[in-house]
Parts: sequence; C-alpha cells; structure tokens
Amino acid sequence: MNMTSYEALYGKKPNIDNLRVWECHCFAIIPPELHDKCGPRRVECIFVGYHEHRIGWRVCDMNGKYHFSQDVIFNESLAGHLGKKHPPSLNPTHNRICTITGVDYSDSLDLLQDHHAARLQARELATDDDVAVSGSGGGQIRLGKAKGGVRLNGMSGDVELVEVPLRCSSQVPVPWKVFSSLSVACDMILPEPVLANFISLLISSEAAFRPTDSVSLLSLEETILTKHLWLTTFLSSVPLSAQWNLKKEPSSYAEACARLDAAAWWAAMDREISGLKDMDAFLKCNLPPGKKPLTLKWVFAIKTDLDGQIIHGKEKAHVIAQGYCQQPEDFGATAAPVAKLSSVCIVLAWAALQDPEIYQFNCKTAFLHAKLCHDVYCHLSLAGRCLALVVF
Amino acid sequence: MSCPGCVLKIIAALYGLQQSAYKFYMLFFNLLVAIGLSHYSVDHSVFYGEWTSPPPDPSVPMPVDGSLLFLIIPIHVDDGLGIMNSSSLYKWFLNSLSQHLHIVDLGPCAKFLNIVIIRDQASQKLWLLSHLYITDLLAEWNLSQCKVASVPLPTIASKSQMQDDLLDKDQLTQYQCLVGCLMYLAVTRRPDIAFAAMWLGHAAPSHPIPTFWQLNMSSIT
Repeated sequence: MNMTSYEALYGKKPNIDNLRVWECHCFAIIPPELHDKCGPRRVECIFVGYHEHRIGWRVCDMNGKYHFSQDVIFNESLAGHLGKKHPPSLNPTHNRICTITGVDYSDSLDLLQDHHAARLQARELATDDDVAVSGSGGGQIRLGKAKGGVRLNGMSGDVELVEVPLRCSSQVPVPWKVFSSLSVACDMILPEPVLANFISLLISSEAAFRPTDSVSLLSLEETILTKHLWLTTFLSSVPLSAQWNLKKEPSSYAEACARLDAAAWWAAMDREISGLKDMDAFLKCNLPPGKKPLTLKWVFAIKTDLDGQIIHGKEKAHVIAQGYCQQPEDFGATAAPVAKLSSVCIVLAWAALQDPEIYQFNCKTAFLHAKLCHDVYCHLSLAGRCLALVVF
Repeated sequence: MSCPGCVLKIIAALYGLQQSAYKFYMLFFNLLVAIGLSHYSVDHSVFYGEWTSPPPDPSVPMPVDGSLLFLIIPIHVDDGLGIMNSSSLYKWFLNSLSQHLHIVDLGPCAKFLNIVIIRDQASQKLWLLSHLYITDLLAEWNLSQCKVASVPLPTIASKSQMQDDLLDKDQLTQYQCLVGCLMYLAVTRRPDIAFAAMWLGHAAPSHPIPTFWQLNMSSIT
C-alpha cells in the first residue's frame, strides 16, 4: 500500500502543517481585552499540546497557567523552560528588525549578543555627545544620536542596555526611525514601566523629535498628541512579517508609515492635508443628538506613466469618509458622473475622422469644490492623528 | 484637546461620502451650462457646445473655413477629454472653468482611463490600447509567462470539456473575478475575446484544466 490509512480513506495526505515541536518556546497572543495600550502583546509560553476538537494550541505560560490560543508564534529551535525567563530571544528580534524596516541590522545584533561590549561602548558614547534625558521612576533613558542610534538604558528589568542603530536610508522620517527602532527594541525586551517612561520622555524631549526637512507634516505638537495611539496602532495592526511590495500602494496608514518609501507617502499626505485646509473642508462643532460621526480613513494610490512605470513624487493620499455608514437621511440623490465607455469610443472615433484637437484635463481635489447640503459629521481623529490640529 | 462630544462637521464633499459624486456632478454641470454647454440626453456625462458666428469670447477666433466652433467634453468624475476644432476655444474653456475649479491641463490626450490613445492624424486613424490593463491583469494572476492562444477558442476548448471536480468556494470566486475582468475587456475594447469570455463564464461552475486558464488568459495579450 505504502500509504497511511487516512490517505487510503480520503485520497489525500493528512495535513501536518499545524503540528509543532512539543515543549518548544513560543509566544501566545494576549487578547485585546486583557492588555492595555502600552502593555506587552504576547506572553512567553511553552507549547504543551493540542485540543481534540478545537483548532489551536495549548500552551503553558511562565507561571504555570495553561491557555488555549489560535495565535501563537513558535520558536521551534529553542526548548522552553518553566519559571525562568529566557534571555531576550535573538531570533525573533532579528526577524522583526529586518522585516519591519527592510534594513539589515545583523551587525547591531552581534552587539546584543555581547552585552558587556555593548555596555562599555554605550558608556563611552553616552559621555561624549549624547542628549541625555534622565527620567523619574523606574528607568533612566538616554537618547543619543551619536552613530545615529537610539539607546535605551533601563535600570530595571533583565536587560540593561539595548542598542538599535538607525542606519536606515535617509528618506525615512526621523520620528519613524525612532519609533520603528523603539517598538522593535521595547516590544520584546524592555519591561513595560521603562517603556512607558521612555515614551513619555520622548514626548517631552524636543531634541529627539525635531522634525527634519522631509517631515514638515509631523509637527511636534501632533507627535505629542498622537504618540501613544500611534505606537499601539502600529504594533497591533501591522503584520510584522510582511514584506512590503514597493510597487504597490500601501493598503493602510500603518503600512504607509512602515515602508521604506514612507517619506514619499508622508509628502502625499501632506499635500492632501493642505488641500483639505485650503478648501475649508471641516468645521469644528458639537455633535447634535441623534447623529453618528463617520470614520475617516487614508487611502493611497500610485500613478504610472504610459509604460506602467511608477511616477515617483506623484503618490496620492486621500482622506476618505466611510460613506457606507451613512444613513439614507444623510444624503440625497447619488449618481456617478461617468461617461459610458461606448460614448467615449464613439466620440474618439468621430474625432479620428474629423481631425479636431483632442486634449485632456483633470480637476484637482475635485469633490472638495462641491459643498454638502446635508449635515454630516466625522470623528476628530484620523488614523491616530488629530485632524483638528492638522486642518486648522 | 479632545473634548467629548466634539466632532468635525464635513462641509466639502469628501471622497467616500454617498452624495459626493452627485454634488460634484451638479457643480460641474452648472458651470458648464453657465458657459453655454449642454449635455447629451443619452449620456449625461458627455457635454457639447457649438457656436455660430459670434464666438463665446472675443479671444476665440472663428474657424477660417466658416464652420461652427464646437466642443465635446466627455467626463469621468474628475478627468475629462476635450475635443474641439480650435485650441483657443479650449484655452477659453479651461480658463472659464479655472475660475471655479482647480483645473490642470494635461495637454494632448495620451492616456484616458488607463487606455493609451495613439493618434495618426495624417491617415485619420486612432488606436485605443488597453495593454496597461492587460499587463496588470496578467501580473495579478501570475500569468505573465502564459502561452499565447488564438481566439475564438481553439478546438481544445470543446475537447477538454467540464472536469468532474468542482472548484471550491475560494477558487470559484477567484475564477469569477477573472472572468469578470475579461468580460469588461470584451465589452469595452476587445470585442474579439467576447466569445472566449462568454464561454469561460459558462464553464465557471466546473473546473477547467489549469493550462486552460492560461490558454484563455493569454488570448488577450
């Protein structure tokens, strides 16, 4: 026969993709209702088995409690140990750094492996020309731009020093650089109070966030307002293993910020915001009873030339309202001002014969010229950024 | 900063709102009517205007051969084509629109709705190329390496009829998606693949052999 009984019965091989190395080291997700904004997203666990009638994995956390989860990241090369925290696992960190920013950080991870060397080096650098910001409470944080890196020095917790250099291309906006490294560094390694402290210090330290050339949009006030929200939105919504396809437009705000060409998208959003500003698209007011505000979203698009090549610098970002939430009394007639393709073809065919001129024009920020006659309201925030601040 | 109950009232027709497109159309319509154009009753998004001896604006000269000045404007939301027999008329048209809207002149028409337009004025010919759409389609369905077949479908189509195994739900949706794209092409610019697209639509519930997919996809390149 040379086949299992399952294969004989069903005519196909059983799927064993979901089988894992028993007792291996893994991270189970913490359900959203059980974690807070800055808290860890996953808990370190050991894989202990399956459930007969459910899809997922049974895991045991470091306190010996058992959980059942369908969202677990496995590190099958490492055996788990109960009751003892692992040293910050290098493999997952490595992967995340590389995948998030698309930059090879392998050198810096060598530093991580040798704590002693890193600490020495950091001390040297820290005394030189760093911007030192001392924090109250659990941790002392140093922000440094020597070597273009951000250095976190947490006094509590297992890890005393993490260095995540920022050798991204210069196109990535500075705040994003700091944040990507920060989230990478903090998410898994730094204890939560230190992280929270670090964020609050980042907010209060202008030096680290002084917007540079390409980030006029991200004014400091805005950064302060939206930082927490932004970081958590990013961490929870971006699939960390994703590799961005730079030939396609980003599908979400978080992706647009995370990509290597983020600067171009920032610029596009900048243009859109200034367009909205020019057209006085919004008016701040109180929500009348019985109305529901709509949610706004970013939508991105790329422009291609005649050969299908992407035209850089012409990226489009649009603020759109989620109109499908509108109630029928909130809008009157709807119609699409679209010429039938057959009409276009007829006109063009006629033009070919009669030999007139054919020109083409386009109306920028077209819809914004039209004013609504119904009352429609939207939320103040837009993908973690405060619209009120940006628009007024 | 974030006061509870505080919201933004949307004043301009934002993209995504149900009524935005209609509001914009009415705005555009009123502007065009104000400068003397009217719309065709069969297609409300195609506008035309013609002027006899007194031109609409002193800066626009009448054609030397004594014919009428005319202007035809098909619009697709915020993109428009302008077909006219005098370029100064076009300038006047854009100028009068620019007083109310932010109009960008894209020059002689080269690409409209992802259709590349090539003109040969000498021989009075005009080509509409949809290769951009087709290339995107092929790339999206991973069929850029597929073989080329001729249309209407080759005889293999009738021989390799309906396989037994049905497509599962996801595959079926994908397949229908692809057939939909092909039908769009057939209806708009490629009537030559109409038969193939229709045949594929009929065959949708059963599973055509994989090469068959390729075969038909390639027929449009």
